[in-house]
Amino acid sequence: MYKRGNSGIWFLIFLVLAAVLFLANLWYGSVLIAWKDVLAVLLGSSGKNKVYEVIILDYRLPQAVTALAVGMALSVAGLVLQTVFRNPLAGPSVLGISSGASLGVAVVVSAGSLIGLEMLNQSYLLFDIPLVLAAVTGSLLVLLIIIFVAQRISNAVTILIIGIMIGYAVSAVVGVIQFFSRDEELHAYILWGLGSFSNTNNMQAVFLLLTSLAVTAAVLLYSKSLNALLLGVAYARNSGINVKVAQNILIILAGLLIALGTVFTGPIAFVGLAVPHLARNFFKTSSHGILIPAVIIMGTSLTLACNLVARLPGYDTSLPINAVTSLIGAPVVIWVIVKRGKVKKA
Amino acid sequence: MYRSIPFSYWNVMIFRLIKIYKMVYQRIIYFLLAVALLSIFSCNPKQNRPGIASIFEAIPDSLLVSKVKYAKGFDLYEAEQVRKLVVYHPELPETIIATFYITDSSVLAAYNMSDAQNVVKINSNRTAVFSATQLNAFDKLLLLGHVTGITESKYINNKHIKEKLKKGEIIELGANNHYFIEKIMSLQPDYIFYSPYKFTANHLLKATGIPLIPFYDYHENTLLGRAEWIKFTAAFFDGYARADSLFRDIERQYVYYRSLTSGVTSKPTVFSDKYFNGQWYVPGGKSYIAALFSDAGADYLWKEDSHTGSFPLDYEVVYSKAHEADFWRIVGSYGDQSSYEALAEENSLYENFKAFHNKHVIWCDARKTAYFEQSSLEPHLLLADLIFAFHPEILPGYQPKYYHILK
Repeated sequence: MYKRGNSGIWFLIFLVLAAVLFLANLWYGSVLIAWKDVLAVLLGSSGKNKVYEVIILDYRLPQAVTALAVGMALSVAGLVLQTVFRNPLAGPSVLGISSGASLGVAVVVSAGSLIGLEMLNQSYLLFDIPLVLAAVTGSLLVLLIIIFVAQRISNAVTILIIGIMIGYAVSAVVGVIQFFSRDEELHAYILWGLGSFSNTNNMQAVFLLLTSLAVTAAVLLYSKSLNALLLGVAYARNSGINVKVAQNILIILAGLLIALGTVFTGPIAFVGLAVPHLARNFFKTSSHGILIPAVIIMGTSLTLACNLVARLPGYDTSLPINAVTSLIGAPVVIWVIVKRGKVKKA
Repeated sequence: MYRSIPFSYWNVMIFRLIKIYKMVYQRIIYFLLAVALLSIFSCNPKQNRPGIASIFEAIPDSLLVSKVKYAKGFDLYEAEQVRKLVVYHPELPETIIATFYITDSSVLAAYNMSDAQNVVKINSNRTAVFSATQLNAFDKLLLLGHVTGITESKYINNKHIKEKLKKGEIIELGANNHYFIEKIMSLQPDYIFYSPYKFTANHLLKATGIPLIPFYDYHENTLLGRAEWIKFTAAFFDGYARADSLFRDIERQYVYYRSLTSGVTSKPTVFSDKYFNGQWYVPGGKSYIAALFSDAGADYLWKEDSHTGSFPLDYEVVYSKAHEADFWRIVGSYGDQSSYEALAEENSLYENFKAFHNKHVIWCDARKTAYFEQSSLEPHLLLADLIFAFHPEILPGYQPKYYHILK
């Protein structure tokens, strides 16, 4: 099963797919715009039509970039978590880490009114910084608890169950905060919790993309450690890796990625869990040198495709993105599990 | 060999049998009829008095005139010191969800009270009112002394109610969309005016066993219809005449302001509300907002639409239709800093609208003006405010209350 597949071809296919989906995200939307006009806007040669310019450059472009960045961040985070915890069902939402990020956001949103700041929907980056910090703190806090538990209990399923329980507990705390917050904040938070790629402007989207890329590059530096960790802590130690340090750094990087993938868009379901499995299935490798780039292009393809489905052309409204990622993600996970079962039996 | 009986023999037998059966049946039917008639005319002293509904059944339809002129959600009739209040389903017109008979206990003695669950004692001193707009009506009708319980007190702006809350004369019976069921049961109001988002026969409050009276003013699709619900509230108390004269005054002023725009030749285009998290909720073409725009002499961009409430659209759809619109109406709140900068800060996509660029945003600060609490009983002011925004030359020197052009 772990023989090297023909990864070069798959890279090419998914790279093209991601590029096509990115362009399709700019091309398709509730308002029908001919591809010639889209091209003209992108090339900056459509002086006359400001409406198309606004729709494509100010509305669709940041959405596509956000989908791209979030797809990348969550997928890489999912892969890292699955390897570090040596658990195929680990993922941002499963281990309660997204909930941790949500808790951070909820705290800042309700505290915002106390200091006179409306936190959600601010387009100045300055106002986003407390939100990002809070989300990072929240997700790392949950990760810290999970690490603490993982050091004492080695059973993967037990850690998973504890992660799920932490997720519930954190959601409950968020619920209590909601109960005592004002209506507008509640409204803002609930809508944020539904998830959407359309809350960012170009500046935020680019910020998201660049920071996600930087963190992902850092993860790539650790791909050898990830490979060793996959074979077990003892093996990693024998190959001269400081296991504790590597694990902690990787977990912090994963926490950062999850916080980035959550803070502007709300928690996005299934991407972090499903994409690493898809990548392993297509690329038939366990080498992280290949898997990390693979989950990047597959994750971006998936979120871009979901965003496209959510804004199906010909409809005046768009669907909540989480409904789409779950509808696509859940069958994928089931398919992967069933297929694995068959391979194992054979 | 077996010899068959001729066919004609069976024929005769069957004919006779049928005849016998017919006779038996007839006797049974006569007997049953007689029993039924006897039981109807046999004297049952309880049933001698007519039910309270009979008062209205006796009046021919042509003489039974509802006191309601604009509202579609209820009808109100009055005869022999009894008021009959019919409440219709908010989404299915003409479907009755409840009928109440409101009267004095002295009147009640004359009637059979077997259908008493629909009879409400007039002038109760212990009512619970769970809608802020209806509480405002209580204040306008000088009936606050009859209220003992409310919900969501933190959103109440009315000074009189705040005072009574402080003194403990009014108690909070729910907050954050939760009812304090035990408090409600210990307070034991005579009935609860409630205002749920959707009509359901099995409401959570049913558990209290206290009569529930639905108040659906926000489902009306005209502003006058919404204001007319002040009659609904007044129907439960003496001094109904006050509601009548208040409403007549509102109506007179609204009709007056509306008449001012009938001669308007240039109608500016307008769109409404703003984008939030992937959706832009736009008032439907049959909503009261659409009617208000039309009455104020403006051209609402979604006037052809058939929704009576708001419906969601994608940003690009709204932008492609409304980018050139003359005016943009928003009800919102930014604390103290409502401005174009605050709007642009919320979403930089707003800067692309011509109405934003030309500073033609018609703004209502919901918190400061108590829009959601009080505006439903001042539709004439809402109309005048918008006329002043669209056609300032019609109302020179006018001071708007709810809407003003954002500076």
